[in-house]
Amino acid sequence: MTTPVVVATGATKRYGEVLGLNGFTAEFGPGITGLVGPNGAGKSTFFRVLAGQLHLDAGQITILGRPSSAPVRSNHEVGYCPESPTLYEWMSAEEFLRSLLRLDGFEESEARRRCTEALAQVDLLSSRDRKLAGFSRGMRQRVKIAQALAHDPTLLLLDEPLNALDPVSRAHLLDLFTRLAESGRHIILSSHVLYEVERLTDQIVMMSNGRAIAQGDLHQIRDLIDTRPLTVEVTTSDPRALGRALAGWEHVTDVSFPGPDKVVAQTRSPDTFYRALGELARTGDVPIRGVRGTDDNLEAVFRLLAE
Amino acid sequence: MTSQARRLAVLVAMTYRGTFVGGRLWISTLLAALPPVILGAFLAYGVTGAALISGFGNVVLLLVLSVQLPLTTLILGVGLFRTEIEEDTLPFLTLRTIARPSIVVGKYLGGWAAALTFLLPSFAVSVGVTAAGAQGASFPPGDLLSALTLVLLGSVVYLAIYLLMGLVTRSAVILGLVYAFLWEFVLRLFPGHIPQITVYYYLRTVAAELTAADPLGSYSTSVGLGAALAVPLGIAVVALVLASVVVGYVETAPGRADG
Amino acid sequence: MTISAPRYTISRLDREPRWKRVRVIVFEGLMRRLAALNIVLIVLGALIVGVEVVLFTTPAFVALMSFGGPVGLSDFAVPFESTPYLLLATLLTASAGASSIAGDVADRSITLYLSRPITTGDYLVGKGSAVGLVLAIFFLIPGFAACLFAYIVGNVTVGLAVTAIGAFVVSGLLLVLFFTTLALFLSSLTRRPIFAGAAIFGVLVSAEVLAQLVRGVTSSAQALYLSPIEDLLAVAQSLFGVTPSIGAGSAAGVVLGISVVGSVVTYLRVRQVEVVG
Repeated sequence: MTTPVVVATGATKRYGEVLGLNGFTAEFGPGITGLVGPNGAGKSTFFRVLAGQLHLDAGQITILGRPSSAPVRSNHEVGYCPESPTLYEWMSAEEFLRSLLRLDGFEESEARRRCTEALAQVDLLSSRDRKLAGFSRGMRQRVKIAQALAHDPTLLLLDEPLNALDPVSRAHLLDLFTRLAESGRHIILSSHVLYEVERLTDQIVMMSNGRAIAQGDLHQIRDLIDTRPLTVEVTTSDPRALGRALAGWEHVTDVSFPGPDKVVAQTRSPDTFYRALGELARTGDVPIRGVRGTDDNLEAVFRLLAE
Repeated sequence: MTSQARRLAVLVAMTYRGTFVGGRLWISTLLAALPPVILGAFLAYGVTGAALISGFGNVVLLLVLSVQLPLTTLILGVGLFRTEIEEDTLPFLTLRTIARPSIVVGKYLGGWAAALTFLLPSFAVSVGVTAAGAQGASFPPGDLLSALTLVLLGSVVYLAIYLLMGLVTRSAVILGLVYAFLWEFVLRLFPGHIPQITVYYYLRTVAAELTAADPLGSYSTSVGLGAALAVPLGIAVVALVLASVVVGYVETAPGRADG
Repeated sequence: MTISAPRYTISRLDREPRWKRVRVIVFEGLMRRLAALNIVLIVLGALIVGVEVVLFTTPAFVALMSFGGPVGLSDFAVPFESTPYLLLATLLTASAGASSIAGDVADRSITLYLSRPITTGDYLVGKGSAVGLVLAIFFLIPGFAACLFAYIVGNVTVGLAVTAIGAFVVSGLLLVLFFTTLALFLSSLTRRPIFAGAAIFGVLVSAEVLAQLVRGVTSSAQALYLSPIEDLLAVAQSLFGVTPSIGAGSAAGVVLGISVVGSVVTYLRVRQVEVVG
């Protein structure tokens, strides 16, 4: 049984009358875990509690077996990439990383080496001597990730790390995160770009209104939602015939025709539906050109749970 | 791994360098230029000799102690933490393996070094201008030491007070201005023991104890040099200790920054 | 193969007149500036004005303090000669005015303002009006109320009360104009309200100290022209029938000149503001 890296138990954080975290309870396992939720769900609040920037009003969070409010020496194990884009504008990228590494206790030569390595990992070596004030948002994002990586932490907390990045940079960083996880590091990252979280990991924690509304493997989460029918879109040249056939199936709860060649059905039993649809296609009674599960992805699952 | 002392030195250097940008640089430079410019204007007007030396004393008391020192330390001191909190860069420091009290000390020392970078040259040039126009007259014994001690001691205590204000409240500038120009400025004019609740009283006492000459040496006080030195230093230490405690509890969240 | 696009017609929107758009900036700025701290400063200022005016226009108090003579217009000028009142005014200017432009540059909302169909001048008029209204509450209402009270309780005649009100209004408007212009000018120079606030104080207090120092050395009252506070005091004193240390007309010219130049420089400065993401 794998030991969770981060465990939150009833974590509550108030901002005056607003609850940032509302009895948040979840476990984040080893490897990469995606933290997803709408704006205001409490993702950044959770990250800041993990990073020691905020203190809980109730509940507890442990990181690598220690409370989140543990002494500073455990900070070597944690790397944090905040959402805010502000940096020390008057420093160059190299000065920024090197100073932070020196504050972490690394010798000058070691700090330089790590700085070079971290900037190379985020593809900023050519801009190392430029002042941060002249950096674009995407470059700032990469600098923040570099400072989170540079001291070789065990756990990376990445709050919206893919914000403001162009597609090439995004792909590059997704590969980096995957390599880091494969080398034994743990990563918790939040993102609104749900299909990219799906690319990285199956392990998801979903948040809404300061609470965890689901956690675990994405597909298991979907399977658990058996009270909500699965929606399937079938492409066919004879939607009427298909519609007639589907309407006669006991597990189909709804049939609609969104387009001239499409039929959308909702079914309580996905396995039975797909078997029956396959049989229908095999007999040739109804021409079927394509089948697509429209809510068997992270975004659809999230919408279902968050409603 | 380097020791906490070396990490402290890195933070001092970072803080010091970060002071010489933008508005802080320009305002502090303008404030630093005021005393020498005024003394130069006196000299140009024909004020020389003992009158100019007396004018130096008045500039120290009325401009340096009452305006330049409080404003320079206010701008630098409040910004040490308030700017970091409001711009959300404080996590970059607090997430390092440097103890949080060390962060306070490092910020303070860096800020103090920056303040002296403006104040000491201003003082030196003011002395130079006065000496140039002294025409044979010399500074009374203890006058320069008295003035320099005012600058050094005043910067130590005021910077610590404003650092704490910047950490504790987002209205630190207004609070600092109220403190500097209502509390310190007005209360010292009251009779009896009321002036003793101002830092100005002790700074002024130190100046008066170190020289007998007017205007620096003329101040009615009921405390000795020892107490006059100890009280401001004590206030500075208490402010820094409180700041070290507060920084462990300060919370930073975008749009919700408040100590 | 041909491709045809649907035909569109532009629907004209009936926009509100420009002055109404500016009014939005004024109200938004005013609401934001009526924060607790500013209200406290206004109340303290009102107390000073109220207490001083009422006391100094009460015949019994005047007789007790052996000032001699009947209550006159000059007795209404006492608040302007009060250091705490002037310090509070400067504090309020710093508190209410420091973030007027600097804050907008810092949080980049200035681009939202200036991307609307308003001119830079409209923006500055709106911002200045918001700050000016707060300062007007400080400078005008307590004096007006105190004069009215003095008349109602029978300490002064209606003629004297009306004259005093007029003097408060004129001097108050000049104070509002100057302090508002100063606040906007210094706020336009930086993107950090903290520096603008400190600069407002720094400029006024430094100028006052400078003027007093120069006056001490030169023994010439003309040195007081160097301090805007002294210029404003001279104008106020003159309006209340008190002989000022320097010429009121010249002092008014200095204040108005600074205000005009400051306004122009502020306008040119805001035209050049760049907000870099």
